[in-house]
Amino acid sequence: MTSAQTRRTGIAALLAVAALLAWPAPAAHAAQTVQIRLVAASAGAEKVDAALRDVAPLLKRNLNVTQIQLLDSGSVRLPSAGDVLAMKAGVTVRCNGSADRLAITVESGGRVVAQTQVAMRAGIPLILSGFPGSGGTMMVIVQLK
Amino acid sequence: MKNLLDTLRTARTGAPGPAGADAFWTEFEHRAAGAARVPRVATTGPLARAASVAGAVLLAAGAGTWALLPGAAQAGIRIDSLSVPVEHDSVFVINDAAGEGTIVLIGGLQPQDPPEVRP
Repeated sequence: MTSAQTRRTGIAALLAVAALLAWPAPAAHAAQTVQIRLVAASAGAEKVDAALRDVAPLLKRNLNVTQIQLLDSGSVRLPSAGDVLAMKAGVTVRCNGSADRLAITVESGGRVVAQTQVAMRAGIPLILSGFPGSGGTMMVIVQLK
Repeated sequence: MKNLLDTLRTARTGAPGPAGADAFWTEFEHRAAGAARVPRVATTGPLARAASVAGAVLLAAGAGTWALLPGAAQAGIRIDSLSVPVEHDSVFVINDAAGEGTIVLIGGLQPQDPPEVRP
């Protein structure tokens, strides 16, 4: 192999290594956390908890609710091997998997009310709503941080 | 009137030939035979490989960029599966128009029956 060939092969190898280094790491491989909030929502005189101001416009716009109250919150580190978050009002949320393949199970009053598998996106909340609660509807807000 | 073909043949026969052409090619062949043979360097192999790698790098960089561009990816959260194993009326999946979130709205979910009270 001539020196020119060696040089070209070396440049090609460097380009390949640079591309691999520059390639963004998949979300599944990075250590991430999902924040889970249990919320009670209803219509009536407007009242929004300060901790829910980030999602209040989204909820008002799509669900026609004006009273939004935070009941409980917690977080689960991903990837999760089935961590269960026991929350107030008899609600438990189980998370299993990584951000791009996250299985979420919501139990209310000891019965499974919703099961889903989703690919989360950082900062974009997933709202599982419609669970009956005292004086309104309960919802679980799952958000990748 | 003379036939055109006969006229041309006559003219061709009488015309002087390309005297310089034969001499030129003879000289060329002599020079070609006498020229030193330079071994062909196989440069296309490494160049092709480098071009392939560079092309792959560009494609990969392009694919990564597309995935990161706003709007190129799905606006909301991708739901692969969803089940509501208790009695209910409806399920709506709402992708917020502003792309701020995804809402799963379960309609008609009944509260759990209260525990039976025995007298």
